[in-house]
Order: sequence, then C-alpha cells, then structure tokens
Amino acid sequence: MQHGETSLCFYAVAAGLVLSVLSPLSVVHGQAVRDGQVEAELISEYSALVPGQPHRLGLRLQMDQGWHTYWQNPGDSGIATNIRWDLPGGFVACEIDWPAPDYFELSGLASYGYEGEIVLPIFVEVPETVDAAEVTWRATVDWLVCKETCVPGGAELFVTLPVAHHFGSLSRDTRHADLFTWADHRTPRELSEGFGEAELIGDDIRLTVRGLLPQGDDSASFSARFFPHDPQSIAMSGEQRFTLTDGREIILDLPGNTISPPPARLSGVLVIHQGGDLYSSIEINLPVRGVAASDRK
Amino acid sequence: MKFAAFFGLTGLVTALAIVAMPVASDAAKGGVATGEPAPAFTLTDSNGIEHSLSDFAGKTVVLEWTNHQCPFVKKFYDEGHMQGWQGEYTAEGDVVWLSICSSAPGKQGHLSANGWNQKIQDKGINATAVLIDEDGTVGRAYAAKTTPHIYVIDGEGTLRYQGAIDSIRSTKTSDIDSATNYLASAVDAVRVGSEVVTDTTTPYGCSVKY
Repeated sequence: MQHGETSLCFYAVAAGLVLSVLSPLSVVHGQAVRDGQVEAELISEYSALVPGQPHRLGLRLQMDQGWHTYWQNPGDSGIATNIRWDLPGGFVACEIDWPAPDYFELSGLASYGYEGEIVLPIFVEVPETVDAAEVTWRATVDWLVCKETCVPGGAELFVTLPVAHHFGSLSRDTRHADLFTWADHRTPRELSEGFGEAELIGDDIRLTVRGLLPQGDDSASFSARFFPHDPQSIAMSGEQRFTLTDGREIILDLPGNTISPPPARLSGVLVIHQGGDLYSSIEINLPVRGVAASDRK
Repeated sequence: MKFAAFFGLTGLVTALAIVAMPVASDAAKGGVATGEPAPAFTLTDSNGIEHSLSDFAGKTVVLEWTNHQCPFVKKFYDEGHMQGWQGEYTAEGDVVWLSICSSAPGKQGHLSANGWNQKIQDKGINATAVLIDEDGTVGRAYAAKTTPHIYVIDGEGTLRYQGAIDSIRSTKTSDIDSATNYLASAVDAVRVGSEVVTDTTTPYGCSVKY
C-alpha cells in the first residue's frame, strides 16, 4: 500500500498552545466505525486547529480482547495499518509517528503490534490561511487484525475541526488526552551520540547501549527487546539474551537471520520494560562492527 | 487466466506419513540463504503419493505455502490468479508446482487428504500436488513464515528465490495486476537459466499455523 499524499515531517509535540476557539459552540466531531474486531476513529489532540500550526490527530483503534493490529514492521507476518488521506487543498498529512510496539509470538513466529485501545498519532500541516469556520479531514484506513487467525478490516473516517483565529486558551481534548499521553510515552527517543554500539559476534548481533537507566534502580525488574525496522536484519522471533551490567549498560544479543547476510547498520527501536510496564523506547541506528564489506547487504 | 484441469489428483487416498524429515526446531532457526542447496524433503500429497525434492532433479520447482482460510491466500485464489499461474507454468512439464500446507491439526487451514481433494476440485487448484506437512517439519526447514510464502528451486536443487509472491502487501485481489510479480520473475528466469534479479524478499501474509 502506498501512502499517497503523506510526507515525512517532524514536529515536536506542542506544549501549552495559547490560542482560542472562535466559536465556543463548534466542537471537534467525527464518528467511530466498527469493522469486525476493531473500532476505529479519527481523534484530535486539541479542540480546534490553528492556521499555520501543525495539528496532531490520532487514529484511535480499539481491538477486541486478544486481537492485535500491527506496527510499521509487522514482524514475521501481518501488515502495518495504513492510512490514505483525503484532505482539502493546502493541508498535508505526515507519516504516522509509530508508538513503540509490543511483542507477540505464536508457534515461533513474531508479531509486532498493539492490543487493547491505542492511538497512532499523525501531524497534519495546516496552511497559514484557512478561510473557513471548520474543516473536515477524511481518511481511508486499512488494517489487519489477528489473534490466531487474521482478518483484514478497514473504515472510511472523518473528523471535523473548528478553526481558531483568536489567541486565548486552546484546550486539550480531555476525552483523548490519556491516549496521546500513552503514545508520547511510547515515542522512541534518540540515542545520544556515543552511547551505543552494535557488533557482529558469530551469527548474532550484540547491541550495547549506555546511559538509559538511572543508577540504583532494581536491575532484576528490567527487560528489553529490539524491534528492527528491516525485517531481514535479524531473526525477528525468539529470545534476545538480555544482560544488565554493573555499569548500567544494556547488552542485548540479537539472533541473526539465517537467510540473509548481516546488515551493515542496525536500525530499529529498543524497548525497555520495567516489570510489566514500558519504561522507555529508543531509536537505534548504528553501524554494525565486524560485518565484512563483502557480506554487507 | 486459464483453468486447466487439475493434475491426476483422483488417486487413492492413503494414510499421511512424512518419511524423511530434515531436522529443525524453530521456524526462525531453519531456512537457508538463497543460492544454497534447498533443504531435502519427502512429503505425502493429498492422494497419498510421496514426493521428494530429489524426484524433480532437472526441473524448476515452485514451493507455495498455503492456508486456504488465510485472507492473503484467498487474495490469489478467489479470482483464479494462483490457479492460472499454476496451470500456465506446469503446462510444459519443466516446472513442478508444489503447494504445501503446514497448518497443524486443529489450526486454521488444516485439511485432511480428503478435504484437500475436495478443495482442489472446488477451487480448480492446478498445482502438481498439494503436500501435507501437518507437523511443520518442512515448513520449519525452509523457515516458511507466511501464507503465501514462495520458494523457487532450480534443476540442480539450488534455492534461487524466497519471499513474497509479489510487491503489494495487501489482501486485495485488485492490487495483483499492478504489483511486481516476484514469483513469475523468478520462475521465468530460472526456466531459461538466467539470474534471478530479486532473489530474496520479505514475505507477507498470515503466519504459518504451526
């Protein structure tokens, strides 16, 4: 599936916008649509959009108990959720800011995705001038939802947003604040320069990262899993041996892929859990030492 | 798209038995790189006939992992695309097409030999044979991960292609015509002794129901 008019664009999460809604009567509205095991809805982080300000939307997905949809790399099987936008002229939707996924394994095969109620955040670029009291954004969404079996699903969604022209206090939509907070907590942070290495050891890739865990935390409660962006870079299922050194270094041994040569770079998301909760997630993009030039993909 | 009669699948149905098994424990640990010898196997088809990879020396062999209930498999069977390719490629006798089902008993896509023969008739399946791998041994030896998952083996028994059937990762039949058909490119190249340009891709589909 192609992404149509979406573009790659990077925005920090807006904090403390101080603008007001022109008409206090107009509100964000859209409609949740159920297809099979999934309820889908376009939601807005703020109660109105502001000309010239990137606006954050979310695709809210509520999966039935035990069912999951997929991350951008779905794992050994499955398909990433896809959004095709139909926006008025001047508005441009960015790619999904994928929250760090969870890991599911069935019969030795890995799935990377999400269960329960989630949101996939997307920024939309808003033109400097909007000559309307409200705008409607439409999207066609396709997903694959799986438990033991898989069911393709989809929905035609819309969200209508009031346009704010006056400064004041633009409110965060309280109905969905928890979902955006969930997504922000799962947005991978950049790894600081010099705080990580990747090295080929035998058939495995050893990923070492530093500076992520504070001193004194209970070592025993931490665990980690690496989710590659390139499905062929490592074996996606199975154990990734985790070691936490006295110096608070995380060492993760990633089993190599049996069908492809080792990658020249290791790219993906490292997810650290503390107990059952996601502690943090880190974007990894490191050269793999020890991969001979002739072996590189 | 043509729907040639299916190939000699009216024989006696006997008990299913795998006679020679490559050893592998985990789909992630099996598999070989493209360009290496394809793992040997012997499996019994829906008519009770044994087939070994070595039986097909000198021919181009297509292995197609299947699960008739998987939406990604239905994408290619509902309007006859897969049956058409099976018929076209096997028509001249130099290509053998083996559909393999690794669904475990009780899991999605598992069928008895009789069930498969009925399905072959109902769907007009034109594969040379449908091989039943219900303990998943051959699937794991090839690291078959999805349905469909395609492998193309040359006459010397070398694995020449593995991965997706085509380039558009969806369940929509309407996407087939605009996709790059990796399966066709690989078979066409191997048949005439050419290099397979795209020899390894990431498969897409349902997970194999081991």
